[in-house]
Amino acid sequence: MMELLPRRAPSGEECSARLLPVIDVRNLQVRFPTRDGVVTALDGLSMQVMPGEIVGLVGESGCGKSTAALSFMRLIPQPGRITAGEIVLDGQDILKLSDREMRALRGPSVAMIFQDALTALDPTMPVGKQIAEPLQLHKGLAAAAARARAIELFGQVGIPDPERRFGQYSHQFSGGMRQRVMIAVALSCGPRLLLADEPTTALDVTVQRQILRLIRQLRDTLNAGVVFITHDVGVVAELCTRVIVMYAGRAVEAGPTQAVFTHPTHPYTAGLLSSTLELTGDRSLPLYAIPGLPPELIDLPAGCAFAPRCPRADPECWNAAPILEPSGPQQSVACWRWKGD
Amino acid sequence: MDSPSLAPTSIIQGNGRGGPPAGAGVLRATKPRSFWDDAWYRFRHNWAGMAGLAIFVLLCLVAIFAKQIAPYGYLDQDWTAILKPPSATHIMGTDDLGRDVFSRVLMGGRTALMVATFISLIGAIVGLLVGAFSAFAGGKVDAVVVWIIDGLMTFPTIWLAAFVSVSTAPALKNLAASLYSVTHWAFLKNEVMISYAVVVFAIGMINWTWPARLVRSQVLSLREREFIEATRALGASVRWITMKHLVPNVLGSMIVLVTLSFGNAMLFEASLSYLGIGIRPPGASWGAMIFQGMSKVRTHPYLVLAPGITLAVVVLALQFMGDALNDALNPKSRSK
Repeated sequence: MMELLPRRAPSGEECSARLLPVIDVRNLQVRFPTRDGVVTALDGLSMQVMPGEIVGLVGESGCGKSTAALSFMRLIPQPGRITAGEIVLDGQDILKLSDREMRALRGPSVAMIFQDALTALDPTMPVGKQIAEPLQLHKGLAAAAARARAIELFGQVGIPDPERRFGQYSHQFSGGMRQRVMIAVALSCGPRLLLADEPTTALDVTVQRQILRLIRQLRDTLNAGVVFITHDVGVVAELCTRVIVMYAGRAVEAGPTQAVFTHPTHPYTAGLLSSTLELTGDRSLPLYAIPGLPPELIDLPAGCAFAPRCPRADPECWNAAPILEPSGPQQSVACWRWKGD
Repeated sequence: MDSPSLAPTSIIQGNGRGGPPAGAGVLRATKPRSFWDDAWYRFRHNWAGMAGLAIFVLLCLVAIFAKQIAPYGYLDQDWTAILKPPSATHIMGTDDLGRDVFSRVLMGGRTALMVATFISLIGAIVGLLVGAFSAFAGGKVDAVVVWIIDGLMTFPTIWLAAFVSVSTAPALKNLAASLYSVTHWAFLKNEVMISYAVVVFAIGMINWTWPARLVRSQVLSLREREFIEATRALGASVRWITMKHLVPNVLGSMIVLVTLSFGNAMLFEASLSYLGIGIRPPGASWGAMIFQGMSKVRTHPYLVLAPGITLAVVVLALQFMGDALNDALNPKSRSK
């Protein structure tokens, strides 16, 4: 089990200093019953995010990153279900809440920035109204007050000329501006936890930079916890304080970004890092790629899910799945052979 | 200052073709242009659609002011002018009872418009409710609703409408009679009014299937769209999502479908009346007029041509209007 922070009763001082995690996930398991069998999209994920912390979730497509984010809001698409575990969001066990109580948390406690702002914004509603929407839903603000606050938010996320922009539609915005609108929508109720699901993947590199800077700025002003989902290792290195590497629905390595990226202990992390391009690297060598494909989540091998692609695998790896164990001061890894031969 | 104004208006003139304010650049702040502004712009530039709209507006005006425009009462018989061909006094001639055909065509327009309005309204409301309900309920309920819709659609509409019309007419008449005994409202005893109700009911019973199917499929596909999920992620309830995000997104397709079905409803009313199971005489209906004229079509073709051409023009106009609306409201599905 991954214990990133000691679990003990918080003192009053800690509470006021906001040292309580904004989200505390224990042993989360999410399953999708399908015609061909049960897909285990998440298996035994545990993680914590402290206020003001940006935690990166990295991994290939289909490794369960997005499912994790959606389960933190209890919005897993049908027929998926949380089959085990515990999610404590801002002090409340959300798996025990009614639908109505959960709705009240979406927005003020947890909000999400989606990957593609063009599809995540309603084409028939002016963007300003969409920013005002959560304010009307949760704070019961009247239209005029919500409008004033929305215009303020426009300024906060760096959209010039908010008065005019308020009444415009999403198709009238550039990709970067649209993403800023998305962020403003997510921020409108001042969430304690911000889930960012690949918010920069669809953007130009230069705009990507600006959006990352904006997210960091907002983290500072709101002191919110951020879960940043991406497959871009470079973005994680730049932005995140801690990183969790996921593979086939499980966390395979976790720790401070610096430590994990300089001394990867899991062969998959090492593979991910080797398959990134470096500006000053040797161009004559072909880019490294991890051989093979991620496994079908429907019938995972009994042993380590990465074993079929792992350069260090030995027969022992096929027998049982490894669990996270400390591999450094704050680092943990789920691998039988991380110590090497 | 006496000198003429030197205001630099010339700089911010449009492109001279009445296009969207594109070339205005920095000088003119682009006004927020909503989807509906864009749609109206596209519609305005479709001449067929505009012609259709003009004819439709004309029909509405004529239907509303039929009694004021008509030179004669639509039931007035002139025994000295029986089966007279078109002339200055009777511009579309007179029928075998000496009634002015032009006046009857005007009143027929009122009938057609009224019946089609009610049918379309019923279709839109029932279709919206059934379609949305089916999509939200999902599972077995949805499957059963789709069966019913598909089942109804396999029958030829006119056959089904005739069946419903003939089989429900006596029941509706009884209902009206018993209502009359309580309320004493005169129109409940009016045979023509009851035949209106029968036609509306018969076609309305069948016509809702199209909007229902459309709404169901739209809601199903919209529900998977990311912005609906994003709204859920903000803590919105199903009701909020439906009212603020689903309805506005379905509205465009709905308007197109209702416009197209409006013309269809007129055709159905005419067909039922032609078959003698629609609007009862002496009520004026284009279908009934065509039927009455058919026996004398060789000697007095204007009896058929006047209502026939009017019907064709109106239905075509609605078709053009519907197509133009489709191009304007669903620009991506444009067939060009």
